[in-house]
This record gives sequence, C-alpha cells and structure tokens, in this order.
Amino acid sequence: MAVDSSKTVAKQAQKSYLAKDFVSFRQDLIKYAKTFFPDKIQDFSEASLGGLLMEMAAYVGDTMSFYLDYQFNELNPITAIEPQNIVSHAKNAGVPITGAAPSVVKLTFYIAVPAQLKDNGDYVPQDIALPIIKKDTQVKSNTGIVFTLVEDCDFTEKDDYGNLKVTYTTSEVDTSNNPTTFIVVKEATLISGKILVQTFSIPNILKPFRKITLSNQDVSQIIRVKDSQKHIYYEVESLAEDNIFKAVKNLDDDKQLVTSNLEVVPAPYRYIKSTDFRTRITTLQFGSGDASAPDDDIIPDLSVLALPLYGTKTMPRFSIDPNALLRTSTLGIAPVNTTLEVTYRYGGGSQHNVAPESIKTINSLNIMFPENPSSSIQDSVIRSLDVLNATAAAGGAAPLNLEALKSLIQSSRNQQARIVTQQDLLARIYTLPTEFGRVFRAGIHHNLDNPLSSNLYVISRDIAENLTISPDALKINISKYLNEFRLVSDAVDILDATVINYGINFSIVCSPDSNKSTVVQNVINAIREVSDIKYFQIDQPIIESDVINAVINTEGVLSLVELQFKNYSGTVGVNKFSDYDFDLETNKFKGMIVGPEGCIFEMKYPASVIMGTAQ
Amino acid sequence: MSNARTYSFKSVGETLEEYGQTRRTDVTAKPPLGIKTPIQLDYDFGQLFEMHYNAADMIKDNFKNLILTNHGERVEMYDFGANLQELVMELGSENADKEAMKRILKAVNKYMPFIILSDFEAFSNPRDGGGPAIRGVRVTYSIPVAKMGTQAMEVILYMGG
Repeated sequence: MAVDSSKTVAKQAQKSYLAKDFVSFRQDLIKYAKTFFPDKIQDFSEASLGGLLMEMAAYVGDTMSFYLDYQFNELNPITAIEPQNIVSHAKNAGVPITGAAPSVVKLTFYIAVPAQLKDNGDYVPQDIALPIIKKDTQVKSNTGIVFTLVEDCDFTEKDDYGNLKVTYTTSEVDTSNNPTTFIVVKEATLISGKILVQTFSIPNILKPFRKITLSNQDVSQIIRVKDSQKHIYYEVESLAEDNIFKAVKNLDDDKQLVTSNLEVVPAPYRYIKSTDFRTRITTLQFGSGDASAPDDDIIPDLSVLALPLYGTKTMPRFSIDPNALLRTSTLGIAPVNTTLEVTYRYGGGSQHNVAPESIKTINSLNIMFPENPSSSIQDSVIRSLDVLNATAAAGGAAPLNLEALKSLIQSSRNQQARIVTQQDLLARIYTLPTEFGRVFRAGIHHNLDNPLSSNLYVISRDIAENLTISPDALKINISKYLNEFRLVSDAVDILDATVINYGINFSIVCSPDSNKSTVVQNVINAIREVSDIKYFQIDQPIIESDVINAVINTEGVLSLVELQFKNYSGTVGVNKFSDYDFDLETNKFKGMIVGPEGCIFEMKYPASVIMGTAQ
Repeated sequence: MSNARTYSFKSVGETLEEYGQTRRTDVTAKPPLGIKTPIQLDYDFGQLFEMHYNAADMIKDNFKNLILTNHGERVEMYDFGANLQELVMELGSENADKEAMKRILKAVNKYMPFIILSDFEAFSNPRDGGGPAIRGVRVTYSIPVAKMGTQAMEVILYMGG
C-alpha cells in the first residue's frame, strides 16, 4: 500500500494570519512549534523557558500588530487620534484652521440733526448735516470688548426717488409744533477684535516662499498687506491662483439690485495664510518669483535651444536648471528689500458675544461730512452721536478642537473648486456674494445646438418680491464669476428665464352648515399657500393635484366642481404681468401644466387672480 | 506511440512493509522536554542548548524560575513569579516568612497548580560567618500527578560580597 503524502504537505502549508494580539500570537507560535519541532522541545508552559521565548516572540508580534493598526488608523481622518495627523488631514482636505472666532453685532447709530423744510412742505433731516461714519470706527462694550465697523455707515444714502434711506423721528419742535431736530437712526454691522499694524523688514535676498509670522494669536482677518513700494499683496487659497475677485461699486441704474460689479483682478503679489493649530499663531507665505527679472530672462526659450536647425541637422545637448523655474512669477512674487506692513484683526472667543445694550462707548470715531457743513453743525452732530446694540453679539467661539476639526474634514473633501456637474454650477451661482446681485432661481438645460454648451436660465426678485428679469450687471457678474471655475471646454449661455403668470378659477360645493364666503376665502388662502413662489423652480410644472388637494382638504368643502388655470399677461387693470402668453389649459399633460424650456410659473397678485364660487 | 504505457503515481511510493524495514530504530532516547536553565550550549546530545529529558527535573527547574521571578519581569504577564525580591532582606522574621509563603503559594496555584507545597524555610549566611552573604529559601514539595514524592529545593535569592 502506497503512502499518500499529499495530506501531510497540505497540513504543513496551513498558516494563519488572523492572529492580532499577544494571546493569539502565543497560541499560534506554540501550535507551530509543537507541530514542526516536537522532537526538539515540548514544554511551553508559562513557567518554562520555552514558554518565555514564545512569549517574547508573541510580544514582538503583538507590538508590531498594534503599530500597524495604529498607523492604519492614522491614515483615516475619522479614526486618526494624533493631533498633527488630524491637522495634516484637515489641511489636505482644505479645511481652514483658524483661531478663536470673533463675534458680530448689529449696532444702531443715533445722531441728532437739524430739520429742514422741503419744497413739498415736509420736514426732513438737513442734508448737509448728515455724516458718513467711516469703517474702522471702534466702539467698546462695558466688558471691554472692542468692535470695529466693517463698512461705512452712510446716513446720506438715498433711494431712487431721492428720499433718505435712514429712519428718523422728531426730537424737538418749535412753538408752531414743527420739527426743529430729528433723531436719525441707522444700523450697521461691527465685528469684534483689535486691529494691529505690524511691520516686517525684508532683506535684499530673494528667498522663495518667504514666511512671516504675526505676533498675535487668533488672527481673524488680514485686512491689508502692502510693501514700501505700495504694492498690495492679496490673500489667495493657493499660490497658484493668480487673480482674485474684487467688488467695485456699481454706479449704473441697476445699483439698487446690484450694489457692486465683480472684477477679476490680477494678483502677482499674493500670499497664503496658515494658522498653527497648537499655537494659533498665523503665518503668511509669499511666492517665489523674482520681481526684478521678467520671466523670459529666467526660463530659457526652449525653441532656441532645441530647434537651432537652420542649415544644420545636428544640435548639442543642453541643460536646464529646474530651480530657475521656481523664480518665475507663476507662484507669485517674493518680497525683497522692502518693508511689509500687515494690518490685521485679532482676538475672539465666546466672551466676545456681549449682551444686548452693553455697547455704549465710542472708542475711536472716524466721521466725515460730505456736504461740509459749518463746524458748529459738525460738532453738534458729533456730540449727539450715540450707539446701542439692541441684540447680543453672536458668532464668537473658541478655537476648533480636534473633534470639530475631524468633523469638518469629510464635508470639506466633498467640496470642490470647479464646476463639473449641473449641481456644481447651481451651487456656485447661489453662493455668489449678495453684493454682486442675487439670483432667485437658476435652471440649466443642455444647448441642443452645441454639445459643449449649456443654457443657464436665471431670474431675480424685485423689492416687492415679485419675479423680475435679472439685471445685466448681475449677469455680467455671474459670467465673470463662473468663468473662474468652469472647465476650459465648457460654455454657459446665461439667459433670462421666462415668467408665466397665472391665476386659478374654481367652483366648489360647500357643506350646508358652513358659511360659504368664509369657505371660499379659506380655499383662496389654501391655493395661495400651495402656489407660493417659494415652492417653484425654473422648469417646474404646476401639479394640478396639489391645488385640488388644497381645495378639497379645506374645511367646509364638499366637492370641487370646476378648477381652471388661467394665464395673465400684459397689463390687467392696475396689475402688470409678464408679457408672455401661454395657454395653460391646452398645455396640461397627465395632470401637470408644463411650460416651455427655461420658464417659471408665478402667481402674481394672488388677491386678484384667484377667483372662486360656492354652491 | 502505440507502444507507450501510462502509469499512475498511486502505484509508486513506500509500502508499509518497506517502511517497517527501513525506518530508523536507533533513536530510542526520550525527546528533550525543555531548555535547562541557566542556558548552556550543548556539546553532548546534538542539541543547541542543554535540555531536560526528565519531567521531574523540568518541573523543578520551572519551579525555581517561578520563585526567582518578580512581578513585572515577564512581558505581558505582570503577575508571573513569587515576587520575593522586596522581601529578601526581611526573610527570617515571622511576618516576612509568612508573606513569602503566601506569595509562593499564590504563584504556584496559578502557574504550577500540580505542585503540592509542604514546608518553607528561609536561610541566610551572614558575611561575618565567612563566605558571601546569602539569602535564600528552601521549599519542600511533591507532585502527586507525576507520582513524585517529597522533593526539596533551595533557591538563593540574594548573594552579596
């Protein structure tokens, strides 16, 4: 009978890689030794030397397994525990590391201004006495927290009709009971923290990616960086960004809707800001370029080196110094032989969330009178200036702790600085800062004539919150804004969405014990609610069932006899509608009214366009 | 090709008869049980270290090491050993001897429960008595499961010059 050795071989080949801890490593090692070396040693009890040697080996395995697990956990921001690794993950994901956050407060400025009589017989505050309280004006709470005005508080601002935008109340009257003095009130936003100007002397040595460190913790904003040659350095997210967005005051007719035009400004002088998680000290890092030499002098013209083939078919080898490429202005210009002046705001924390009515002191006042009134009027207005915060300051918070930092990493990774999908495009449009105009709704369609192009439909709202065509300044701003994030091959045509105004006529049967007029009014209110523009997007159809549901679920309604959707266009009575004609009833399809591409349905003047009868 | 024959590997190998005839019969010695301490290179039996071949010697060696080991000296087994180091200067007094016995009994019950302890005696050899200063314990024990009668073992815990 032959001996089958295959089973023995298979048994020998068995190895386990499941051991993770000391006990399992020890068991595996003893099992291994007993299997393969029974003729060499047999005693592996705890008290024996053989057992001791096994335990030493198991200890090494356990230690290595621990560190393997540990390092593996450190690769994942959710399971990492080492502070420096969590900070590295956060930096890689683009989470900004900041110190304590400052608080923001709405502060009301009060001034007493002499009255003047207008041509129409109304008394208003005297124009020439109205000041502009300039930004950087500082006030102080009773707990000693300093707040700084972030934008000019302009008392002279007027609307399109020439009326003052500020509110005012009569303070003093003459013997004829006519106002002689008004209390003029305007609200402004202030942010906590102290402002400091720090200077840095930069030697005459080109040091690529030079860093300077600010001396205070919790820097919340770098207000300005300029050198002694008056170059302004702009903050960028990465040094590869060579331009920035800048708000320029809009002086056109649509300035009420779009206060600023967006400009894309080249930023050869730029820096990135980073804050040390542990020390909360902020460092600025500048570029590597040499401003004294144009890029052409730094980078050799490769065509000269590689293609000197005029009249010859040979060329010599040539060398390029890769370090020379770092001296180009591609990553920004390095400051050399100058003095940098850094103005920044620092300080923050929950103690900056001061209580209501706790800010009453003006620390430093920066005020101007555009109409240049007499000094007595100026002094009088300045003496009358008072401030008070009706609400508590909010937003001040302690620096992020490690757990908070970890929680931000995942969401930050999902963000991206480019537009790829339609959702990216919409998200980017809706995050356009308000001062550049506000898009109420945006919708996207593929352009059937150009596969690389999309049609972007936008619509805004006027002051009465009715839909209105977006102003040109807004569309230009969107164009400039999107251009910085779109893929090179993508094109977006920005078009006005079509507004289709509509109304609803209905007829219902009411229950005998109900008041018919009350029921009809309740039905109108219900239709008004479901037709509110906040529920509508561009290209969203009207769902007939939603309206039917609202009607028949109104108390007192027994049945819905008739429901009709009616288009309103042009001017009807005193109401002005969109000029677009659209037959809603003939475009009803499977219970939905579907409009043309890029349209949005709006029930404008609901008090006039919802009509109902009751039986 | 037509004359070629096919063989199965199942038809070759070693038959039981052949195995019985060829197996080594000269290895009759008992296999080694464990390493003898203190470790010494083996020049006689072909092993790397000198080994124990007898269970009684093996147990005695292990028991000696258990008594000599103090807590914390073994990796991952903090409580291994009788932990007599801190008592060594007090041995001879009734309280210290009782404590030493308690510790030895506890260690034996956990790590060598098959040993039955009988007597304990602490001894010392003061320096002025000639020779090095020595402190140690003498333990009498038996191992019924191994059919070993009463054994005595002296362990020197401290030796100073």
